[in-house]
Amino acid sequence: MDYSYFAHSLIRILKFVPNTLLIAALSTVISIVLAVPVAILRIKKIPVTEIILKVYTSFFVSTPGLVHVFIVYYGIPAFLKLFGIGVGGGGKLFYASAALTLNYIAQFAEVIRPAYLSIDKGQHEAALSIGMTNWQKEKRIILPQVVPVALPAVANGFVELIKDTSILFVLGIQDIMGSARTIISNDYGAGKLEVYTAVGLIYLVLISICTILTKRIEKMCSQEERRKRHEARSGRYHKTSDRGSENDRHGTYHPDRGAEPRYPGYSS
Amino acid sequence: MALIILIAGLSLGTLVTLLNNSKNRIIHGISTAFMWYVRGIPLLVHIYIIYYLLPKRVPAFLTLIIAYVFYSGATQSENVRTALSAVPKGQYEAAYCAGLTTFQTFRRIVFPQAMVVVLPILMNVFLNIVKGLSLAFMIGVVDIFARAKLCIAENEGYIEAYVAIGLVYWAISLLFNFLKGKLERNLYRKQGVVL
Repeated sequence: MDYSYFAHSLIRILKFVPNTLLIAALSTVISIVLAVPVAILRIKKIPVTEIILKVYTSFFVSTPGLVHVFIVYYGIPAFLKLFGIGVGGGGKLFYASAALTLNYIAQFAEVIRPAYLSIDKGQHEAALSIGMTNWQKEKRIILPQVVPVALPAVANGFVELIKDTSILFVLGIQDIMGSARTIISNDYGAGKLEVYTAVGLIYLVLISICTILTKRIEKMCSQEERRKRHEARSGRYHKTSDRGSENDRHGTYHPDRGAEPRYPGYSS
Repeated sequence: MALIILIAGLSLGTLVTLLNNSKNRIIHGISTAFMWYVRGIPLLVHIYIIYYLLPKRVPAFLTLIIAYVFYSGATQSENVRTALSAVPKGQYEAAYCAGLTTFQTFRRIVFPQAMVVVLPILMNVFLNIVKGLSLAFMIGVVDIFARAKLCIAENEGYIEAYVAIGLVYWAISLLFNFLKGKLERNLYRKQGVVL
């Protein structure tokens, strides 16, 4: 292995990391925004959309990313042509993000829907029974509970999405992988192993950072943490509960206070 | 091919889990590093690295299997761990008390219970492997996807060919989901688990 060539290509590829991140971030944001209505429609179980969305989800979950990329790349222009809209070339970036977005809408909707359904029915009933409107109920009671459940999985989805951007070079996008291919062909395939190792290293670092962030989000959303924060906010317990582990928890309860209170999102 | 990878990957996954459970710091470190590597790298890049790392004489088919087994080993070790931790500790202790050896305990007590947990996951893993194999054409192994590429090269019907592959993958997945449902029900009935 030629280390100087390795370092050289590493630096050259590093310039294209923002492209990958841009595509990943763009696709994640759009797909989260669009996954919410999809999830809502699936929760409402409207007969027609239910079938359509089921087919849609099952298709995108069960076919490989490469197929999506190609179907979107060749399919969208052909589809638009049916309505007489001519798409001349179009940005490759657009098709790439569209393919990822379509895929991840399905994935994220599959995360958000169970998260919503995991909220105890009693919470809905209780909110309605104290006279909240539907909107108030969702906004004040349900959503704050759904978000911590869904967020870690969504963050994981983002990490997966970064990995999935590596196949986009088939469209000729200059992201990490694409630039690596360009370097290889510019140098007449001199050091393929070096270049790909550099690519691997960049991905490893990138994804490790994201994974650490994900772990943080996960921890923030875990029940243990939320209970601690809840206690700190409401100040209902003795200071000793800062020790906070499961074991000494019972020692900090006062018997007069009766049963253990339920915390938002802490449904067993 | 996917089946070979599944089984080999499962064995490797079990090995990694065992290594990871080891008390020895170095062994633990190695398996953790391995899992970190695999989780942090896209499959495609991994396949390329292995492809150019191995000597030229190794056929692409074999390269793919080696690369993929490595890759799925780490993923599977997670599943194995889930499955093993789903079996309560009392079961092991009870088995030892009844005088079973370690192997017997695993074979007769732990394995059947872990299987129930892991089977649905395994089916998903299998589907993921089938999906991941679509990357194989990058290093010149002909599978469904590469076949379609060849078709396109012969007679230029891009969108038709890609939709067709999509449908093929979809059909495979639906078939497996169906089988999965059947198998699960069968297994649960045998185990006497009430759904």
